[in-house]
Amino acid sequence: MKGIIFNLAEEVVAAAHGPETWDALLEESGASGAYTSLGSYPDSELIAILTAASARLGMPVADVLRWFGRSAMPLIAQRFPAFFTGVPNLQGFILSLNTIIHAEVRKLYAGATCPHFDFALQNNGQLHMTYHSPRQLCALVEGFVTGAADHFGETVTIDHGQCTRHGAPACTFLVHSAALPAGAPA
Amino acid sequence: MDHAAQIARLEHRLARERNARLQAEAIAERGLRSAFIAQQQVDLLQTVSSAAADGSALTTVLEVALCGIGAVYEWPLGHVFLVEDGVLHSTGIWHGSNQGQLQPMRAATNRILFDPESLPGRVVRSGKPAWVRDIALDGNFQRLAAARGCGLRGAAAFPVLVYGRAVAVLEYFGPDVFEPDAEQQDLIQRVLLKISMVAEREETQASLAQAQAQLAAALGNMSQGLCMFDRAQRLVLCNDRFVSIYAQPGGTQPAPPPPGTTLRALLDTQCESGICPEDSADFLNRRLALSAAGEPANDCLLLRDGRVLAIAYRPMPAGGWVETHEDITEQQRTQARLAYLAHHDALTTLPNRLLFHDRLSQALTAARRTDGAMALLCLDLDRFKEVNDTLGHKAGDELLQRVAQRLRRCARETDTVARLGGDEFAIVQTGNAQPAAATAFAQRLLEELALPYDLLGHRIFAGASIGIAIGPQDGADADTLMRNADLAMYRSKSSGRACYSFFEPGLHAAMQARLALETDLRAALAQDQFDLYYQPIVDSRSRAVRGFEALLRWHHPQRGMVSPGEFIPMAEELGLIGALGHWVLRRACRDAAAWADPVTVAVNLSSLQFRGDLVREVAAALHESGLPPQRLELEITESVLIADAQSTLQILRALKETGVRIAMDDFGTGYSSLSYLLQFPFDRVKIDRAFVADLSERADSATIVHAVVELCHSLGMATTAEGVETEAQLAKIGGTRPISVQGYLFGRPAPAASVNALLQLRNQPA
Repeated sequence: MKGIIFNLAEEVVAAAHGPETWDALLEESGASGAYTSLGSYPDSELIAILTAASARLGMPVADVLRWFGRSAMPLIAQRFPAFFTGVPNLQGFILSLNTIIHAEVRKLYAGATCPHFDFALQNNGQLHMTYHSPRQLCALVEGFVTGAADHFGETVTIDHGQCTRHGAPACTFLVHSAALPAGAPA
Repeated sequence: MDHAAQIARLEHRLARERNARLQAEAIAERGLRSAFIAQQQVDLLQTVSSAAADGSALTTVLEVALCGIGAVYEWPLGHVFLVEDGVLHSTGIWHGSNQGQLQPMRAATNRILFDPESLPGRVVRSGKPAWVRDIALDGNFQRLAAARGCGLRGAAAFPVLVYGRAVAVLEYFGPDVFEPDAEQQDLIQRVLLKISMVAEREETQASLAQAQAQLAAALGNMSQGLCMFDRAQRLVLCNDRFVSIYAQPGGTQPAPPPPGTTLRALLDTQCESGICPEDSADFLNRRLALSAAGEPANDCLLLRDGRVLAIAYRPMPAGGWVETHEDITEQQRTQARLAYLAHHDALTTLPNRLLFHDRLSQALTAARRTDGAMALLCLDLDRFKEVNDTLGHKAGDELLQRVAQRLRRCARETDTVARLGGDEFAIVQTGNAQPAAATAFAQRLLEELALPYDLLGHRIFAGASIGIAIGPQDGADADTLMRNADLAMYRSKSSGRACYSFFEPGLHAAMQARLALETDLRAALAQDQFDLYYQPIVDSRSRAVRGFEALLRWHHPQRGMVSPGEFIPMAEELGLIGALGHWVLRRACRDAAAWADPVTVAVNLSSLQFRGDLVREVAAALHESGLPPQRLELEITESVLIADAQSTLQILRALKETGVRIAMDDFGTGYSSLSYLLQFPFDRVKIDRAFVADLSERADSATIVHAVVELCHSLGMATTAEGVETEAQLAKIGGTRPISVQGYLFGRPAPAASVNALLQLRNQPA
């Protein structure tokens, strides 16, 4: 796992629960704690931190991932504004994942093993996504999508159909997004 | 230290460290990104370079470059056009997925014809890359609807140039506006240059291949053999014809000698093949010398199989030379044939007038130089025209060929026998013993030519008249000698034919006189210089006049009376005999109609009159004069029948049917008189004066006369004995039957005016 994810996690946790919580999670998980965005670190450290967070915050790991993904999106938008310029909406953003965002990620982070998504636009405007990743971070995907919807000022519902955690070969999502009614808080 | 202050300080430090880390990370990220992009660009150039270097086809290199650039700049759609003669052709080379939302743009690109203002059209025209920031704002984008439907926004197109001319165009589209930076433009330009090199190479190879194909076609279709050697005398190339010329005729075509074969090795092979000339050493030396001369040269070669080759050597500016080998055997044969034809008579193969004139001049020159002499014999057939006219041209030609054979047989190797045209032949006889040699030669010729010819089933006699002139005494140049030999020949002709005459200085004048007479003869009919005399034909017992023979007389105002023996052959020769004969017929009929007694009038016909419409002429003469047909007796000689028996007999029968009587004249002087008597029912046979003249001396003559009279009587024919001059002759004729007789004893030919007086005197009962 790239260090950038650890950095984002630190920022999200520190912002919501104070830097000491992050320190505590590191202590509790036994993770090394020294992360630079360009470095690669064992996936197990992230899992350990997540598990510790789940225990400390009193919520399931999946929820921790959803919360983290959603909360990390503004930070990502701040750090990589190019991913968002010219993108009209959530759907456009999701569709650019393979070709633009992950392509760009690979330019920066040599050896990054980005997930791959298959897309199929439904007639009703819903987007069918298939998520291929050995890491089984489908909840993080949900979090990121929700965070992106927040960025574009859209409401989103994500139906997580099949899941690798339940023995499916890949995770599937049906993403239905809509612009927020005028005046609604972003 | 206050804990709180310490914590605050530590927190500040932490924040600084964190900022430092973020900055370091940002710097590193930028560096990595640049490195990645640089690497991508390097990879792109390398991929295209290696595709170009490994000799891949232009289309392959275009595809590699198209996809490489598309991948680096993440343009989702790219396409290649090829340009032929300034026209864009969409290819099957694409970058990007063939599925999904870009499909309509692909279809539109494949479908339309690009105008010069379209994006790729502009690139072809300008030879420069074109960037369209936003196709919606371009104002001139042909596939706008399709492009917008596919969510495309930016576009760019790049030319692949060969010598400044676009041969291909790479076109890209992306969903974002296109804003090229200098680095991007530079990279694309470098890729395009690499493609251009491939395109140039391909174009050069294509034109080289085309040039080679053209050269091969040109060489392969030459009628000449061609080979090229370098300065080291090694074969550069040769065509198939070159190989086949030196191949054994009828054999299989050997493999062409490989390039690099030395001239010497090539020549040795040709010598060994046995095709080269007999003297192979000379052949080798000549070929080697001319090849190495370094100057244009032409040579001719006679191969052992009889073929003739013309070889042309042409040096090349950069050293080495080109040879062409042409089989000119047929050409030479044709030329030789033409030269032969120009100098020989096609019918007899004898030299013609042109060549004869040369030979004659040479012989004359040689005679003058050696103070010697030579003879020119001019020869004219006596009866050629007759044979030609009566038996046809085929027989005439055959006769000329036979005559040529005989002349050749008589002549020596050193003599020249020529046919000058028509039935004119001439011979140059060399040798100094003149005129003795020419005399002997002429005699031998006459003897040989007097022998009969069997032509197409006819036995023909055709003697010749020969004129001889001795050079240089009778003429210093060929033309004079020729004219004088001709004069001598005319003298032979006019002195009875079948003889030879030498030119004499006075001959020219004599011939002039003859010419003058001919001129006068032509005018004589118009000037009414002719007259008819009549000789009586009487009964051998009663001596009563039975009729008169009309005899033609020419009263020349200066020469006086000209002998018919002189002017009638001349009139026949000049073609005047038809008109003259017609005149005689009309005059004789008119005269006879006015006679006091209805006795017959006998008119002689020339064989030549049978070629005209004799039957009509006779009918007209009878009609005009009112003379009853049975009073007209037409006399013909055997020669009339010899000429063309069938058509003559037909005319005679037609004449006889009109009631006119037909008589055979001069009977007994020809060859096969008796058979003629059976061929046609003559009314009368006139026994030649030769038999009558002999009557007084030879007893057998009387026997013949009586036998003929008896024979004719039994055939129902009357007889007339001609040339009776004495009573003694008359007495011998007087056999058992009375016949008609004619001769000075009964009256000489006399003017028409005297006929009636004679009739009165002889036929009035005493």
